[in-house]
Amino acid sequence: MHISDGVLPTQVAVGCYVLGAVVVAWSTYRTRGDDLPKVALATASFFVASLVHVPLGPTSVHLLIPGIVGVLLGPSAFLAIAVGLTLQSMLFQFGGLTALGANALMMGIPALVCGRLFQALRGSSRQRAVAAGALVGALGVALAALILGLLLYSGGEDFLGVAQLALAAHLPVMVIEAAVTAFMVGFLSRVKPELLELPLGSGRQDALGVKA
Amino acid sequence: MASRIGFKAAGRALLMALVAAFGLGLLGPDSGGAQNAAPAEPAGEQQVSQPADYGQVLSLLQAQKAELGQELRRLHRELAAVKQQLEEPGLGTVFSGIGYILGLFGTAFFIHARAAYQRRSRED
Repeated sequence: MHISDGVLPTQVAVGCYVLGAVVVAWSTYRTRGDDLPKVALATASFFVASLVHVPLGPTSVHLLIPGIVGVLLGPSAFLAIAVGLTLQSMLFQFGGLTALGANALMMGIPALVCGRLFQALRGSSRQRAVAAGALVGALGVALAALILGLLLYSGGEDFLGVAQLALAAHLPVMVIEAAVTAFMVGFLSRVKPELLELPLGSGRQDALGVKA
Repeated sequence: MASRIGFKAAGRALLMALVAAFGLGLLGPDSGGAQNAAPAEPAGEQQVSQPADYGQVLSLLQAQKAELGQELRRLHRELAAVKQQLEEPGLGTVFSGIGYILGLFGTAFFIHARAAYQRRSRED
């Protein structure tokens, strides 16, 4: 699920770049310096996940994992996804460089929504956290498909048609990602629950409690 | 004595070579003419039998064409597979991407840690 060069009208592509840059700046500001290794790990996972193909009849779709990145990183997820997508478009030729802003919004906004939603839904019990993880894992892909439909609608495509097609094609991916996210949340809440906690307030504070 | 025999032998050999060359020279155009003239007769025979062979030749050609077409389709399939394989990023590309990510965030983390360390040592 990548938008290629020349699909979007120029105004939309430029607008997406501007909006994406603003969100990246906000996301960078909200990123705590001490969380950078975690952000790097999630970025690398996002970068590589696109190579895991799920065969689907004559074609194949690949994992997207905006849900997992959102759950792990919260506000920093957009930064991670923007970096991952930039490298994907340069090294793998996934999506065009001119559509990078649109692609970042398409993957990053679901990640932000999923991160926020997970924190709201997780509750205190592990079962509930696992269920919330499964929900946001599937929701991330669905939201990405909806935003893809919305973006292509600006290029003159039929919104409902594109969104339906993208959703139908990514149903297996949604199932797999729901399972993977639920497993990951269950595992982390047992082994290292602090990885699922997100920092409060702005990112300008390090682990030593020193404000910048 | 020996040299005189040598001269004699050389002279004889030269004579024989000349005769042979002359003979070949005479024979050459003659045999060429025979070769040129010879195909005229079989050609006539072929023309007579051609209408009967047309069907056979045509079916042979068609069979060959079908065979070649199949071979060509196979090659096309292989070419498409190779193309797809080439488009897939290799292991080197994947690792270089991961290296970029780790380097980028590693640098950011280093700068952050250095700033935190300096702040801390200033406060102490």
